[in-house]
Amino acid sequence: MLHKRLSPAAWLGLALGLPFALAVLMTLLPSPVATLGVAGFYAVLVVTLVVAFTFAAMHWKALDETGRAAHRHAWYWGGSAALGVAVLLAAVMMRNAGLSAWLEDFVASINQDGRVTPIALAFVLGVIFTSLALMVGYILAWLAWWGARRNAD
Amino acid sequence: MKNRIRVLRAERNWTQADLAQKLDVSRNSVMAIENGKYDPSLPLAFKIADVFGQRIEEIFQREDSK
Repeated sequence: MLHKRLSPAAWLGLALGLPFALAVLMTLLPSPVATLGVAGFYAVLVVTLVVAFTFAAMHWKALDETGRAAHRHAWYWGGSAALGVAVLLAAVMMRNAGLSAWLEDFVASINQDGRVTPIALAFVLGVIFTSLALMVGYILAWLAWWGARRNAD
Repeated sequence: MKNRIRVLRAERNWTQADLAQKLDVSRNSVMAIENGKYDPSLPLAFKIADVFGQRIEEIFQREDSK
């Protein structure tokens, strides 16, 4: 019963904290691929994701049924709404070049050595912003679910 | 669905945290079920009935029942 050793919140903290810590570490290294090597870089990435997924599985197992119901609600409604908003934002940005100007510094920071192709950059930005939109939608729907069910004793 | 959990709990002087511990669920879950904002699964409803020593239908009633 490994999942009983920590609270659901602690497992979630580990599942989110580990990839976040890796992302911070990667930004601190001058060039992660040069430091770790290509194989080392992918190995660290894959191991981190597998361990984070294991923590997420422990979080799910440690939750009771209302906790899981809240997650299902957040996944469906928060995720669906966020995807809709992301599509709308993408459509607006495609027709208004000025709206994406603020992204140039960010793109330059990802592409310091100029080796990333424009199409790969577009893909990376799409993944990052869709993930952010999903996360925001998920959190809002999760809070709304619990907010509608919590009352003082 | 209506339920008598709050009354049954008060009769036994149990807090929501006490009941949560007996059911192995979070206090938030007890709160949501007690307030009729979440209908528990059948296994959890049986567990609640066992904890109070009553039948499920003595604890949970349909919203339109008297």
